[in-house]
Amino acid sequence: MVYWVLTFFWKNPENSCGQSEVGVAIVLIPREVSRQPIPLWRTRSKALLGAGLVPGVSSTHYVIC
Amino acid sequence: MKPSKSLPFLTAALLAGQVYGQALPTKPEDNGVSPVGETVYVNTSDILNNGSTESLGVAIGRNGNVMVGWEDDGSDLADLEAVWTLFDRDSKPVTAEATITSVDPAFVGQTLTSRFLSYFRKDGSAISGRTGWGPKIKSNLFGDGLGMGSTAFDLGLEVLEFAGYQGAGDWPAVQLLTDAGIPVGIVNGVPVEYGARPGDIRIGDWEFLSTGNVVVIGESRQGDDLVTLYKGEAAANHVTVRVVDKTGKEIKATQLASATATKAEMWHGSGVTKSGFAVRFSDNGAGRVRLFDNAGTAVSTNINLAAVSGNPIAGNGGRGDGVGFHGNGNDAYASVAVGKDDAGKNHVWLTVLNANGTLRWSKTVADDMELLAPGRCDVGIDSLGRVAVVFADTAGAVGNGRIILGRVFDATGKALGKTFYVSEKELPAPETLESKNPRVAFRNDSIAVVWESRNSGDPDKRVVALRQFVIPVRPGSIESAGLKRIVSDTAMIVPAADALGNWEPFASVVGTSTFLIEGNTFADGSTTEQRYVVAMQPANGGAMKLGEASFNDAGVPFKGAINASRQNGNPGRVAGDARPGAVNFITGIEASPHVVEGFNSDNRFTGGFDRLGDGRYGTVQTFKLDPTALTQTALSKAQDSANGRRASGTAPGNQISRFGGDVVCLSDGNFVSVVEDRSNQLRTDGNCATATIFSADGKVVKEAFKVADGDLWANVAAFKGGFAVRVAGKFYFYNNAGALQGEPVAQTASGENFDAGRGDGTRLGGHINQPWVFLVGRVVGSSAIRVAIWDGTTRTLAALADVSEGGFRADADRAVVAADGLGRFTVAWVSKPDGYEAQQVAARVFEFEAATKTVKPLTPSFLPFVNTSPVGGIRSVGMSVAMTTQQILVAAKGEINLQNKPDQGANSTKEVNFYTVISHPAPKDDPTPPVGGPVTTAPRISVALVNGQLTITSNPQPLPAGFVLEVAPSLNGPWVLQSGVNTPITLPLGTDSARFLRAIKR
Repeated sequence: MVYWVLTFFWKNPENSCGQSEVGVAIVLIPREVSRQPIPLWRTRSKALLGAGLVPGVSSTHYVIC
Repeated sequence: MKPSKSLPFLTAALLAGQVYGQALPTKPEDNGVSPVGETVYVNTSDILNNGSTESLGVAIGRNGNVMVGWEDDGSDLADLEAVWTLFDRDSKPVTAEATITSVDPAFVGQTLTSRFLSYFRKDGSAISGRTGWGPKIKSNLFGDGLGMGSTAFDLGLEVLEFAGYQGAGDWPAVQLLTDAGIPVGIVNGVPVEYGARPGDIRIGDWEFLSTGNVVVIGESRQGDDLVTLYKGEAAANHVTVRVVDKTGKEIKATQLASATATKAEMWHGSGVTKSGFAVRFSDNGAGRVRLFDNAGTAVSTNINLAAVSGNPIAGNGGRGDGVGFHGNGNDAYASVAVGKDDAGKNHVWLTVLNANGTLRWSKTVADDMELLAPGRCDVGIDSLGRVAVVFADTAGAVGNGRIILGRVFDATGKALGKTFYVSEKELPAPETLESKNPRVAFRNDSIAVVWESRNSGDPDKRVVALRQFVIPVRPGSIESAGLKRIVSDTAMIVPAADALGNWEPFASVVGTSTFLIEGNTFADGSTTEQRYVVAMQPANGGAMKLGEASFNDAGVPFKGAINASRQNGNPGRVAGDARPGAVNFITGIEASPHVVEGFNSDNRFTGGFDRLGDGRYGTVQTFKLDPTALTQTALSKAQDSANGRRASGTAPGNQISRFGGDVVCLSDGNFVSVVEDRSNQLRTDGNCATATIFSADGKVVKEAFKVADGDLWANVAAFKGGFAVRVAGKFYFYNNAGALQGEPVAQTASGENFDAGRGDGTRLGGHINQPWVFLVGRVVGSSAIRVAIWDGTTRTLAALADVSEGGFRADADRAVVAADGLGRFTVAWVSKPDGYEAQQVAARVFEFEAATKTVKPLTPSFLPFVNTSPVGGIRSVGMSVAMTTQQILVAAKGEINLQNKPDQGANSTKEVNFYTVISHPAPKDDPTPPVGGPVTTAPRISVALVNGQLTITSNPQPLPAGFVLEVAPSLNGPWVLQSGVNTPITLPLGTDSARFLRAIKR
């Protein structure tokens, strides 16, 4: 099975506006799930979060940067 | 023909025109422009008219003032060779009468009192209009400033510093003025020694440049100069260009306007854009334009207007007397001329050029009617590239000469309507007497037209006529302004009965999380007594929770009657700590807790000051908010703001102190409460504004002190490091400790005419992360809403700007303002837009760019509520506004449809308090240092995948002190400290569908 490795960075606005917490999410997306290559840009990442492809995440909770 | 004003004759004449097939111009209001009032006749015989009116000019200042200039030769001091006078944007005369004196021996002892002014001496005294002829009227399209240039011949006899110019021929001189008509200084179009050679130099035209300098263009009749100075082959008239600064100091020496040292003439014809200026002149007959940059260096050759335009008519007009050429102060020039085409048909031909001289578009102006005998024409172009053309033609007035017609085009050249007649007093009918030689200015949605008219009631005299128009701006929905709805109109509370009067909301924000809206409603179980409530609305949407402005001494929310002597009085106030992460807020209410059960657990109301049995006074209480649960906890007991610690004295009446005043939170987290103090304790003979600084737990940080004598309504604002209070037209600036900084600053320093009363309709705003104090209000005597911005730390004026657009001429009333941590601000005001039965709150969002001190609109004016409607009883007034860097809340009182279906009409009680939350046009993170002070910025972390291994690195590396690296299978955890806790670390890719790593400060 071939995977795409998606990394996107986020900051937690509740944590003093991201001044004391930043993170990276590493997500394996089976290639057949996506229709096309996944570029590492912000809106796409948010869409993935919203689409539930990343477990346990509310897309409005964290700010993708 | 004797003038007749009988209506049936008029109607017959208009119909006659139509029967014979000649299309007549129609009303301006049917053709895209709204008249602003009536035609004004400026220099009627009863004022001062020498019978020789000519050479008109008009310009619109940044503040909407209109400068009208003309020449009317006569004798002695009343020989008006070049004069000007100002009107406001509603055509009301503005210039005060001045006493004109003379130091010229020929006029010894003579004075003239007039509002037709000319040049001024250095001491500000006005001289007669006789010293220079042929006025050229201009406004500064880049800021404040108006001016009149003329061909000076006796100026040096009255303004003695220019005596050196006398006796050597005429020379061009320009009087610079402020938008209010106050003299700034005189600059000359040539140096003394240049003008000393034989021959006159007339004023060709002049402009304010975007650099703050001035260009003066002369038509030099020092013919020999063309050979000796400019190496031409034959002596002839030629056009000169000189750039000076506003003090008259030369920036670029006098040079030729034309690219060739050959005959050229000019009378009118300069324009200005952001990048430079243009000169239109007659190149030995043909119309040409030369472009220059702001330094005065030519950047083009002599551009052939006819060739660029594609129509020979565009090159007509000779030296420019009867044609128009202007720039829009931005990126374009407009040119207009009259002529016949090959078929012999008359045209007014319009050409719009880009700043680089290339064609934008060109067309015939009046393609909708036959022009029988067009006379002079002029053109104005606004910064958006819209164009207004005016010209004279017979148009049904046959036999009596011409009348003034106009047509307006959008920036693409599409006409807003058909050709219209300009004056309601000068219709296209045979009894209208001759009007001619129109001039026009177009700026900020406003169009001002002047012309020479015989229709003032005195047919023997040509009189300067003025009429103004606007291209109306109609505020639309938030969506039309590019904004989104976050919370639809929400009534804070729907009282059981109509509000008792003066119940209106005051809004603030705590942290960046929650808007707070203070409102009034009935005490529990009552419809005759009031109480104060606080709505807590999460800024990014979600359900509102209603809290109370008062908790009793046991910390229990109090819903009973709280004011012992007035129920329809002052609305309460609320202020939150605006630092990110903050949770504290304060309420300010007019109340009588000393006689309310539950508020007397200690002796704070029995300290010795007698509040009478029913006294009411500004009462404050501090709280903290749980922003998730939306619950509030009292941090202190309700206390008398101004007199809470007073140990003796008696209140002179039961209105002891009030809000009046306001509460704000300072940048250090303390609160200041300023009341309108009627207790006579700090001022024995009247009201004063009294301020007290409290900490978040209600302790007095600075005991009550008098700010100033006078009444007060709101008008308190916090800024970075301090706060400002505006009382009776003066600002008092304090630091956070409450120490007065510098001297009080008069609001008139803004140059704008705001109300100087207690401040109901003219308000302050500010934000703790910025030094700016914003003053907004309706200009006295106008419907314009403006903003003046002060730097609270230096106490100097930073900027002055329009809030409502020039074309938004709706009736306006009170205005309020709030600001965010990035220098953006929202103004909301009561307006009554055209066509609306009832008042509607309007709003507009701006950015104040500190580096350039300019105010940039981020939206047009819009109507913020869902509940707006021209009919059906939907009304909003009494607004308040609060904002974060991402959301804006507007609150108001009024009558609305509670289901948010305004087209079904209002169904609420009277004056219900409601609010909406909308998106910020430019949402950004809030850079205000959060509660607890700035923290180290989190590091940047990076991930690289090489051969199935993830390498995590950080910048800085290793992680800064206090940061650790944690991993989890989901964003919600569980988070586990990553072994090898610091970067760089290497991890295998694994098969989990997702893995999260974070750097977090512990």
